[in-house]
Amino acid sequence: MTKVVTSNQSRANIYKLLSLCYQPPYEDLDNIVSSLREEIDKLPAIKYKIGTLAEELASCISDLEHTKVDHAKLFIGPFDLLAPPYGSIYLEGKRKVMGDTTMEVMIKYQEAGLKLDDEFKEPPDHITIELEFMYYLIFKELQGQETNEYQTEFLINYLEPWVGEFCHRIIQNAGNDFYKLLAKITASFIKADMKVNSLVC
Amino acid sequence: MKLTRRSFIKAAGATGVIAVGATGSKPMLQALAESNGTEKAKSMQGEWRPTVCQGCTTWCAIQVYVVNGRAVKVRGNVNSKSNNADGKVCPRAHMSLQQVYDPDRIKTPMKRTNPKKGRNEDPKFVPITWDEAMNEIADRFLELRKNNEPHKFVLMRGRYTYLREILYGAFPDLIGSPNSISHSAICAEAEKFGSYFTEHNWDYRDYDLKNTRYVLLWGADPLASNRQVPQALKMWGEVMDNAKVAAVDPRLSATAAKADDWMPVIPGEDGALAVAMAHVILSEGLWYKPFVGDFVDGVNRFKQGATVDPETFSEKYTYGIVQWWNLELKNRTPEWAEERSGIPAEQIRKVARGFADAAPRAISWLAPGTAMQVRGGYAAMASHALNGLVGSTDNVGGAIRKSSIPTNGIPDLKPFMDDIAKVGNDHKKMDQRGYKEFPAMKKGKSGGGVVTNRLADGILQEDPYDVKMAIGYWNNLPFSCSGASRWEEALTKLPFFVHITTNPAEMTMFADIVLPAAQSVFERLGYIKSKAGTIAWLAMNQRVIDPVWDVRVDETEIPYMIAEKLAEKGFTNILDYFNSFKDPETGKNPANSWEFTEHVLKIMTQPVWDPAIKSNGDQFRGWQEFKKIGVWNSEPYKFRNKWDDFGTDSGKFEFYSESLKHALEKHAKKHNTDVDDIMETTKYTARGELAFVPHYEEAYRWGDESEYPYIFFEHRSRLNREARSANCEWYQEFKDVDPGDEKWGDVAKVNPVDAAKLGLKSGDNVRLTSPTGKIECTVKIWEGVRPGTIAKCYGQGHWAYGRVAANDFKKHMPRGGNNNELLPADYERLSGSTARHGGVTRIKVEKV
Amino acid sequence: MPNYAMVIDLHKCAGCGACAITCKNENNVPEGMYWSNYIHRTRGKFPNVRYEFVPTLCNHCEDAPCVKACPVGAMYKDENGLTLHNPDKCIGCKACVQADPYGVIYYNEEKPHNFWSDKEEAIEKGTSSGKEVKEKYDAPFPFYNPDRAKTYAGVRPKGIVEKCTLCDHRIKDGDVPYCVASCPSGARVFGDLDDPKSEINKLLNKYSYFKLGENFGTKPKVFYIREF
Ligand code: SF4
Ligand code: SF4
Ligand code: SF4
Repeated sequence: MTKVVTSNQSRANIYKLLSLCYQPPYEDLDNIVSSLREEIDKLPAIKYKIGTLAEELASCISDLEHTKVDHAKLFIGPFDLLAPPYGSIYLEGKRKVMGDTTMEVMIKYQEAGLKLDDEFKEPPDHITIELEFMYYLIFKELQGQETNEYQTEFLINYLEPWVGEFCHRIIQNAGNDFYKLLAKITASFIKADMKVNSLVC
Repeated sequence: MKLTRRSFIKAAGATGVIAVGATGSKPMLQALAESNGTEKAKSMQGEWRPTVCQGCTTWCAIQVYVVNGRAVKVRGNVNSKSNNADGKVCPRAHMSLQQVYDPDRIKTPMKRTNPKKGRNEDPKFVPITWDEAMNEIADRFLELRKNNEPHKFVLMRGRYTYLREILYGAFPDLIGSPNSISHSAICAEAEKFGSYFTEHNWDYRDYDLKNTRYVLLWGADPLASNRQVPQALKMWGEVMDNAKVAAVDPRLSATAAKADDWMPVIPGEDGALAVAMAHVILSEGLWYKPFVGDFVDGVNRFKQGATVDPETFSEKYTYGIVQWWNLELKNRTPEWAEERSGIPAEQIRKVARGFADAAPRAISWLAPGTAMQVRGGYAAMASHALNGLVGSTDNVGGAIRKSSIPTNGIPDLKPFMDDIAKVGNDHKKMDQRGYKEFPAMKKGKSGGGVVTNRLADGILQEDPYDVKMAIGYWNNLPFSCSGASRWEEALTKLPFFVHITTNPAEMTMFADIVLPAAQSVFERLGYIKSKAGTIAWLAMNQRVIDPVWDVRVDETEIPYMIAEKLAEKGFTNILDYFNSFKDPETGKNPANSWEFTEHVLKIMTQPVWDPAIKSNGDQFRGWQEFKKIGVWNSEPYKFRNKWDDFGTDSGKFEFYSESLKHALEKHAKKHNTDVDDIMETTKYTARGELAFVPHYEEAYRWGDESEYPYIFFEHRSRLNREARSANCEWYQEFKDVDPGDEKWGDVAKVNPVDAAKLGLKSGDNVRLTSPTGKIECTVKIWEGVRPGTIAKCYGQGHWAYGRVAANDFKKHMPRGGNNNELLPADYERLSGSTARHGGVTRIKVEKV
Repeated sequence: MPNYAMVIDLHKCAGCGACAITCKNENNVPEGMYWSNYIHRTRGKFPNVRYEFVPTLCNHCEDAPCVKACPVGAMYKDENGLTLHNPDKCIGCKACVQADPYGVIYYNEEKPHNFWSDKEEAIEKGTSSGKEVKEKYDAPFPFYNPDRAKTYAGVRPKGIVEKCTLCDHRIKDGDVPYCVASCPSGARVFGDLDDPKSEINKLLNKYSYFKLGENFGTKPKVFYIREF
């Protein structure tokens, strides 16, 4: 296996695992988190940035109930969301030149031959879905499809533009460390990924 | 198989490899699902990518629907905030699809093998490689430079993007030629003359249609042409709900057809209407006092025939209202104008009153129809001055300017200019600008503007010197310039001519080397600036599909490739200069012509996309985002900013133009004479101070009435992509959307009264003959033209360009006849403009 | 079930022809056929002249004579009130063409888009041919719109008829017909006649309207309001 392939596997896995981390937490959360740490360890360029954060993350999910409450307050409601996990909330205000970003990401999924899962009842610009989409694109690349440009495009135009602010809100508002750390990891990873992939030009 | 979270993690645990390998070829998805075939079909199959339409000078921000690398549809860029908002474009935009995929496009560089040139010579083109082409071109340049005559090279520019700075700007400078000749003067410079010498605006105006209450059109047909077509199309229903529309146009144009008043002026007599309307507005006390001011005691002394004492009037933001009255207007009654213009005095009064009643929300919309006439400079001033009388200039609901668009220039080229180039650049330009008979006073400077159409004579007469080599791009001068046959002669005479073109145009047929150009909508890079509806925008031409053929970007790639060849042969300055263009983001130097193109574009547009630079409009997060959005919109225009200082010599809106007086006097002095002599030389009748105010000039026509009984005038098509769309099937199939015209046809529109006299019926073939040329076409009997005049649309009559445009491409047989072979080469000399309108020639009509 | 119809506001219409051009584009309509079309005429005597322009298309008549005339049921009314054509059933007998009083059904006499099979070159080896350009792309012609094929033959073969489908392939996806989307003047409005709140019903309540050939007994569903 070449180096690129290995690192692409890890990139895919990290996106996938981050995506899972933003779903409501269950018992398997520690599994997810430890896998996340392992995958981060495999990428030197990222490890040096967020390796310690990932270690900390793995050690702070003792109280699952607490984490659940925090998750709900941040991302689900019923009252004002402290950190709404939807891209459009952040993008519409800032990028008034853009049209309906929600529709646009949906179109991106459709172009890649995907639809929303019937059971996952969230709008297309939900963080979980966007992260999973990145996973899917890298997965396809590993299978030999040319998706690199798609990745670049999606990352630059849809994911990266709002993730920073989203994570910032989590860091400001989270009740315990878990989501704070997760947010830091997410933000740094995506930033780093843009570079590793020489996506920023 | 659907995987749960749990099984996902389990699989991960088992193999240590989560994403891949665990389940073979299936990705593990929770939130998304792979859709089956039918659902895929339902989804959009393509993507909308941003670029620019340059089908006309509206310069729309558009998007192209790309499916599997094919361009399939076109719409307005949904990110536009004015002209193209909601994805709107005019009908022309769609035809660009048939341009890019036109089978008649040049697909490879070619070389002429028949040394004889002329319309009826087969050039016997043979394909050559880009390298061979560059080699030959570079050798020619080196030869010129070796002989210290680099100035004998001429660069002829047509349509352009602002990357013109390279091929049209820097390149000839570094070679050593002053001869960058643009097409501008065949376009509409005389129009700018009107707004410049009244209010110091050498530009096209924008119009606040949303808030207007009266639109008075001077040969303008905004629903079909004239610089903001989608905006006008979109707004017109509302305009007609809120405002009155009057159209001065010898033909029942698309807009006249929907207007409240159609004023079918006798071609060239527009000025009479304009001054008569001014007379009505003043004599009836209808001018807009908050802008113009009033008589000190409030008593209107503008009585017909009466000379007024300037001391009695106190002006506000204007200058010379009383002088204008005294010198020109006092006897310009509607009855007087009726005799000249053919428009009933009552209608003139009605329109003038309606227009003034709407003040200041009244637009006097100046366009080439009224300006591009031999004596059109003053008609342009007069019709624009009406905006001053009603205070609508720079005002809500009026004729306004554009918000600024921040861009960068290109790096300084002086350090790369050698002595040969410096000496070469000091020579006079080949278009004879600034000669006594061609003042071409762009922005008030004698010889400041181009006299495009005169270049042909310059070449033929070797005046100021002989031309040895020329490059033309994005142009087709022997088709688009009046007196077209002179161009055929001039091009025949050129020892070495390179044409950069998409199609085998008429001009191409005279080339020694032909280079295939990237098509402007789909294949090139560039950027444009434009405005409409109070918003200015900058948009980028982008390569939205892989080019259909092995083409290059005319303005940047080709000069870069020539520079490479020159460097190979020892002259490195130009390449050194080009290679100094660093990518503003990475700091890298360009490695090839495409990277160079990108760097130029990035450098020039940096002020709009760089998040670190605050602009007066949309902000972007960086180059990538700007590329994706494709258009930058300014903030809405701020009204009345200019009122306090228009920038004219007096600082005011000038009815008596100190600015023009100054400019004319300087030009006269340069030629050791006086302004009266200049007036005479430039075919104007005014003497004395009349030359400094907007005034009536009798139409100037070629041809004696007894031999040539009919006044010929031409107009624009709503389907012309600047005469580049005639090879599109849709152009021909829908040609009848121009009122009076026919599908697949080229018709001379004749009033039934004249048709009866001439014994003609629709469909007859006729020969039209002017003192300088003749063409053949068919007759259409139509009530939309005045008896005694014959109208014909510009655009057909190609004898080359492609197999659809021409009737028989191989035999050089045109489809109809090109108006420019009929029209004499004449000029509005003060601006340098080609005078194609105003019934510049008379013709006779014979059945064939 | 919706009952689709169109309102054309002649006051807003500028007679620009974008509808007619773009319909060809969207629906891959061959040369010489005009699913979206127009009628124009100039009346009066100089200088009192009126030019009028009326955009036309299939009226999707409630009582469609073409449907009645079709012997094999290829021309049919669908559940949304559209008059549609099934190319698989069509035998090319042209009974519909005869019966249609509006002249909006076209028969494919030739192989469509022949332009793109032509081998002639304007300049030998220097320019290309229709065939050469076409062969560069995996499509019937270079700017072929594949979306059309979702509900109809992407290009209709020789020997059968074709007509406006009110862009059923777009309506199905929640889009408006392409001529509506691309009318720069906003003159064309599409909607559901049975929905009292639809934009078209608002317009029809606000303005008086007319339809083409009202005396044909066809009950057309293209309505015209105001004057050109
Ligand atoms: S042809 Fe002119 S008005 Fe029409 S879309 Fe192109 S640039 Fe805009
Ligand atoms: S509805 Fe569609 S098919 Fe019918 S005329 Fe309009 S664009 Fe053409
Ligand atoms: S596109 Fe709109 S404005 Fe143009 S002709 Fe058609 S209906 Fe009229």
